[in-house]
Amino acid sequence: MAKEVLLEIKNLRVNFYTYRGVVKALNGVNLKIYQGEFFGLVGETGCGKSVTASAVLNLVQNPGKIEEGEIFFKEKDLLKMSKEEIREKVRGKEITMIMQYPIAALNPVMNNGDQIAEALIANKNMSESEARKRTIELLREVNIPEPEKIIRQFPHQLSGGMAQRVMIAMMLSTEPSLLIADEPTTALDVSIQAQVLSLLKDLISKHKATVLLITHDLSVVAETCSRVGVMYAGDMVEVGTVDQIINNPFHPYTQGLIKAIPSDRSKELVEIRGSVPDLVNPPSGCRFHPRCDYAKPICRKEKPRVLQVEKEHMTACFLYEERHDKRSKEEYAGEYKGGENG
Amino acid sequence: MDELIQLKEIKKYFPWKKHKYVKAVDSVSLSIKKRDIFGLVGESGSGKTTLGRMMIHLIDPTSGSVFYKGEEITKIKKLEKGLRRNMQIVFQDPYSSLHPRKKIKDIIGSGLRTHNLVRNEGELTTKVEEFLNLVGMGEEHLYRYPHELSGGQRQRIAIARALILNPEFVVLDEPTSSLDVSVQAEILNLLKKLREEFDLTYIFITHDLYLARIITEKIAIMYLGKIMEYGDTESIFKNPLHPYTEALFSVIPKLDPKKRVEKIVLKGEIPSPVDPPLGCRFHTRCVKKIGEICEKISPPLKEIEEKHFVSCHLYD
Amino acid sequence: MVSNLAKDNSQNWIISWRKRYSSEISDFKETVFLIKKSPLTMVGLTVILILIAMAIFAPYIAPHDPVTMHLDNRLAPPSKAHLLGTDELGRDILSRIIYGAGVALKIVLIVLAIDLPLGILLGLTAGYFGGWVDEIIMRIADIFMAFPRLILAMAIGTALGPSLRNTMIAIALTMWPVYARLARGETLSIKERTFIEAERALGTSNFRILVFNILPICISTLIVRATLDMGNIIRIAAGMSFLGLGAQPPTPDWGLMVSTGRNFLVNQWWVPTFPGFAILLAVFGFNLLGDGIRDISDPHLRRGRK
Repeated sequence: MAKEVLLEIKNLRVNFYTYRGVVKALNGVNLKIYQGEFFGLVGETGCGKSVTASAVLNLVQNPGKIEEGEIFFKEKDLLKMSKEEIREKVRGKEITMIMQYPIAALNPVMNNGDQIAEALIANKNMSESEARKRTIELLREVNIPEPEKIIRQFPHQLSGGMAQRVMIAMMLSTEPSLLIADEPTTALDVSIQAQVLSLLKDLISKHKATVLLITHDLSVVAETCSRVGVMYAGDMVEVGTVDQIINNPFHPYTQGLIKAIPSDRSKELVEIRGSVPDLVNPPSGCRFHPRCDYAKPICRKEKPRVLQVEKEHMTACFLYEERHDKRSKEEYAGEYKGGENG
Repeated sequence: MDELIQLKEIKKYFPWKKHKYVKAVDSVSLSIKKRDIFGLVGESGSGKTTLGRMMIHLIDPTSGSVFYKGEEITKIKKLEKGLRRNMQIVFQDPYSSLHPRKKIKDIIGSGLRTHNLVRNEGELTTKVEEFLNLVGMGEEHLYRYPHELSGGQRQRIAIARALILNPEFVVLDEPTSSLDVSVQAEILNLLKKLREEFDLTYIFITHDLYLARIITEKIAIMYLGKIMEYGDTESIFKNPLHPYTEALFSVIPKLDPKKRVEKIVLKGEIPSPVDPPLGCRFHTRCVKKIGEICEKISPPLKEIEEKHFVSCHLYD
Repeated sequence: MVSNLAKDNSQNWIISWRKRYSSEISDFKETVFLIKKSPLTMVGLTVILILIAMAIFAPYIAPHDPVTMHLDNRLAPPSKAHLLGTDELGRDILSRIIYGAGVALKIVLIVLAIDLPLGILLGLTAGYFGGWVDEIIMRIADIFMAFPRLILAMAIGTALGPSLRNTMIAIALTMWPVYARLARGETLSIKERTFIEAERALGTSNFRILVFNILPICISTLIVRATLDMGNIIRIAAGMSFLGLGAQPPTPDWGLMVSTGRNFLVNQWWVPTFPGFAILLAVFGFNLLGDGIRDISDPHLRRGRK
């Protein structure tokens, strides 16, 4: 069963031109998302995951600029499309997005029913009465109790969880092919998070959509996603299935991240020494090398390329070059404190 | 007497609109022993933040009593300076808990000035440097402003500020929730180290159950202003008795698929603390609700196994 | 060897001084950068600097004495000897305008010297303590604010008697409520912030919280407002002088010059017109500068400020 690629990002580079200097936010990111899957993009603040999402929708604003790269969605390069085409055909229709603070994303002076209906009329060419009917249906679909009452209320009257469900209703109303969820449950309580995530999973399978879930919470990804990409300081450092990433992480950053998270497995929290680099002057070569216990001289000189180390499991790290490359052994000599893999 | 803090039937009702109250904390009784690392766990509206502040006399309770080392301090309008120094707090948001226009030296040294613990500027600088080093930062930060530091660094400053007064216990109000995961580990390890060094008692407020399991020794699970379950952390994790605790454990996302259990997804929203349900606060969402008794009577806290208390009619 | 030691010490001292104030230095550099980026602000700044120079160096740059009358040379048109002509009493208009700058600036400084401290004191107290203190202060402020500024100033000026000093008092009385309100508003929002709660947890007294924690934040908004008001102060003072309530002859006050010169507008246009321009340029300059300072102080424009 061959999997169809829905979204492919190739060598995406994005810079932000600020007063302090040029922030090299994305350093050549590659990503493939297959039709129908739930893909998790994980990383900490500043890793570039949200910038990646903005780039897909061509929403990278001044002072940011997409320097290089291609984003193929259903075989067409989104970065080469005109602004009008993206606005009319893609954004809000084929690709939609939900964000961390749903109440802030909703129009505060329009009641909930009007907002959803407006989206339906604009994007699906429904008549007003059709849109009103469909609005109530959608609200029922996302398990909102008393939809007739809710449509007359305003966003600020909704709780976080309900507002997020209204957003999901709106964003799924256009039957998108891709839904981007940027930290959708980070601001919600655990018990509400569970509700929203389970709802999302149900609806995605019902509408046969594909999801790009962006979060810093690896456990959320573990429970909802099939494949994961780990980002650090503007680079995609590892991609694999959830099982691979969690049980057999290759990249030292991924390993460090898992050891630092309080989870059902840990008895203590292990720090990753150092801190997230300033992207105006990022470290040379591999951006993680100053914090890496396994760093070798080559890590400081060159940027590691992405290699497939096992089936479906890729990483960008010199530790794994040896398995795949015919470079001379001299280049790999150097500081090498016994590692776990490679 | 190693009871450091005792709370007896503490209530805090905040007036809201006309004749209504936000019942943030609704009759809680607790005692914290010296050197405890006590966790207060709950979701929004649970009252854990308000409870934490009442413990250090930052908020006055509406009714009930707070005892510090046996002495009642509830009624004291303004704590005598000596007492104030003994109880400190580290806030959740490192971006708003440091004065944006003050230098790090003045932020950390503020308490020293107020309590006349140093005789001159030189002494103040030395002492502040000492504590900067203790939290893993250097004297080059003395004259910087908070906006020049990262979240993790700011939180270290907040910790230094609290500890420079040599308190007996510190309320840690979600100290790492606003920080990145990798920074969180650093800060928590720092807190553990400092606790050993200064023999501190911690009250650790968090919504992250796994974090609580790693850090705390005793824990209280709160919901809508009341304690649902409390006792030794390990015994609660191994054997959660309250349906709310059980549900919470079941829905926290887990890395290990083998540990995932059937999720008890609670229906409905967390009720508003303005009109909390009568009787047991949790009955509106409880899958194990017995019946009318849950709707009418609030269950008392009972010790079910050693050092493990629950407030639930299932155990009457 | 001793002198080397001394040199080392003083160099160390300079280095450590630079380290201590490195944040302030870079902030200052950023401010200068932003000012240079905004041409209008530069214009405003230039105008004000010229005014200040005129005020300070008047005795050295004014070609003639501003007060001495030369009745044989009344209403003379602009010439080499009198670049802007002479007025109805033979006094050199250019010199009077130059000295007038000092008068205008004096008014601005004294009004602000009264209003800023007064407004801050009342506003901080009302905002921080609330309750009946707040009510009383704000109601009094409301009463003052209910009247249009110029009318109120005129009324107070008339009641006190026409003089420059009374004009300044009158204007100060009409403007303090604005600063009090501003200070109160800032205090209300600041006092709920976590870092203030932190100070309370540390045991800091209310006085220290107000003076060392709240005041430093309020002050920048108030200063920005003050610079925006400078133009207004000059305008109102000129108006008062025009009506005879302000500066009295022979003080070289621009408003007074326009007033006494207005009878000559048709045939000897230079007599009221040049002072009028002076008022225009001064107000315009202050407004540009005020706008510029407000924009520059906007935290969103500055990096990292929260």
